[in-house]
Amino acid sequence: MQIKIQDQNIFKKAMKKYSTILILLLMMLIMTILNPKFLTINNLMNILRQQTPIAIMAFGVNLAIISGGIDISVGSVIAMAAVILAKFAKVDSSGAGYPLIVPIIASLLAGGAAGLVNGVVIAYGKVPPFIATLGMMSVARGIALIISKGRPITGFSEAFNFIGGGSFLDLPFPIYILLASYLIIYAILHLTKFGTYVFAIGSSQMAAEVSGVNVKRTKVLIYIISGIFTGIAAIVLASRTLSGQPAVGEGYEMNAITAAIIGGTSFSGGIGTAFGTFIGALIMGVLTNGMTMLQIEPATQMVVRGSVIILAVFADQYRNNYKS
Amino acid sequence: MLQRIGINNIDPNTKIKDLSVAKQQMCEIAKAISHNAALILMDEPTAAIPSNDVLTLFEIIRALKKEGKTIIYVTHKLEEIFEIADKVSVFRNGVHVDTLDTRTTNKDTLIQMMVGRDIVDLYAKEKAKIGDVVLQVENLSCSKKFDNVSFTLKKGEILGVAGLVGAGRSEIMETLFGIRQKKTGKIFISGKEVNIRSPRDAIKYGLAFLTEDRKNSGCFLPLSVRINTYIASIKQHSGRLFVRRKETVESTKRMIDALSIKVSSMEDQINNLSGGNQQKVLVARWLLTEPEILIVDEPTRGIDVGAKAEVHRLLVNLALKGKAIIMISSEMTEILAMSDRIMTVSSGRVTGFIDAKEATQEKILKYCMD
Repeated sequence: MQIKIQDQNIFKKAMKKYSTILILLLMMLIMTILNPKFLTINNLMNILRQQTPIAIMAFGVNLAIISGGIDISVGSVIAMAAVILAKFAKVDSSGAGYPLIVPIIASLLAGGAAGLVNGVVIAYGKVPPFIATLGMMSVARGIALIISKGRPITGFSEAFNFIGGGSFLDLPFPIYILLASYLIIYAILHLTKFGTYVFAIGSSQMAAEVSGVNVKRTKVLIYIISGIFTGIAAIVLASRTLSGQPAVGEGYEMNAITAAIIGGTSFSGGIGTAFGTFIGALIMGVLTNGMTMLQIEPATQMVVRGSVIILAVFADQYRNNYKS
Repeated sequence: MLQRIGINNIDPNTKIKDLSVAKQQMCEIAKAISHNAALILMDEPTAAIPSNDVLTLFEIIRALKKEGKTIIYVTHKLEEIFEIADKVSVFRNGVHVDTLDTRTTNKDTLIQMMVGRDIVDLYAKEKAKIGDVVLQVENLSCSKKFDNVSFTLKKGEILGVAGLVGAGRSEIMETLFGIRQKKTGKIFISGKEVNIRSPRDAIKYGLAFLTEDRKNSGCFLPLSVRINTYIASIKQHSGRLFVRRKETVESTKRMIDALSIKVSSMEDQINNLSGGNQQKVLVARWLLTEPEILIVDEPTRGIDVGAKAEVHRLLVNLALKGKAIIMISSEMTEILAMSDRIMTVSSGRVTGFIDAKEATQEKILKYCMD
């Protein structure tokens, strides 16, 4: 039976659109077969809880990659933001401290400030994004260590118990933060003028310039947003552990970038979706959780995760070979 | 080595990047000669060197000839051919026209051979009513690219810009559009002086620019036809933050119909379209900005004859509506068929203005090689 050319093309398009979800479902199926305890509500909620900070960071990093850049500082910036948040979240022995809104704003501002520096260095200093954010990776980590004097800051106010561990309508509270973050990044990337500029710059910076896009200003905003999302992730992370730890976040940028690439974002720029990154983060979460349930050693897990990103980039080049 | 070819003023220890372009060229020539080859090919060797160094080069060539070496010398400077060459071969559109002895021919014959017999006009320009001056450029210059460029442009006019490759035409228009920074010069739009520091400013003042290289500075290859169409006019299709999607769909559909763009869906990647259709999308992009002045750089390069005629028709229709058009083109037939006036550019300078009535290929070519 001959399949018409038109139908073949529709099949191809559908594959492209839904392949990431299919991969996620396939992985969940395999994990459940290997260990039936995987598919419990408790475990699935755990995956979401664990992966929320990474997913939120991935939303920001995705923005940078679509624009043709990258942000590898997020793993350190989350530590810096968490530590700064902790300083304001701390209550003294009598229970007095800053209102809840203060540490939250502090975290967002810390992330945003790091992003501002990244953005200005990249857009106006014309430093390649990899180098600029590599530098920030070190700087942010250093600042986190300086502020915290090398030790975790604990003693948060009561409110953080709820943010980190509480539930609302049977779902863990962090999931609502995750959903809100997703909706915000979806709107930014796919509904705003700014989002169009991001895709344009990633496709062809020269063409964007000629078409009247303010490339410099857009780039600065991209890294500020990436920083702010890292600040949001820091709030979730610090609330879960009820501490601001300067050592946290090592390797998170790898995880976040892999999530974006698995989700369909291309390093060549101009290609990617918010939803894809979301699914990509879930895939990484299922992978890590599954490996832990199968009692695979942490070191081996690192090898697997590294291999996954290489495979994902390989698949990306095969998928998106429009640039000759 | 350098002394052998008569260059005494370059210290061999200096870095190449610290030398002037002319001196760099002399080093290149020395390098070529150092290979002791029997046949030396020189491609526009005097492009960047001053006249006394040209004389030195000719001395070197004559010396090499005496040694029995053969030299192929590529140039568009006809005077040099008659000074140094024994024979001259003329090529046109990738085809060898003829080879003559330089002693039995002259400059005009060569020009005639370069121009050749013409193909019939693809589209004859309907003459639009020429209105007031809408653009005035005075003494525009850009470091190392072009100098002292002045011209005016009237409503309804198509100003053709002719010149050899590398003459600086695209650079002039890129500076006018704010892609390059000018060194000196004033720009007046409808009589008012304007300061254009970026394409954003240029678009604000009613300018539009269809670049020469649609693959690199025109199309957003991985993006849809729709985005490629509304990008330059995005502010007119949006609120403060959000893009009004429905309006972008309507505008794109309007353009697809008006320009007969062959595409199955406006969400298709523009990369999948033919060159001609891609070019039409870019024209649509700029039409949506409702410009008063449209600059097009090689608008029909690399597209089929049918699409070519359609693009020409579009440009003429714009002129009929009172818009002003600047058209850079390296195709003689196109320039002659479309322009009301032709501005010739050579080595970064404007060498002449030719009215359509008096324009011939030979005349244009002469000015382009001035």
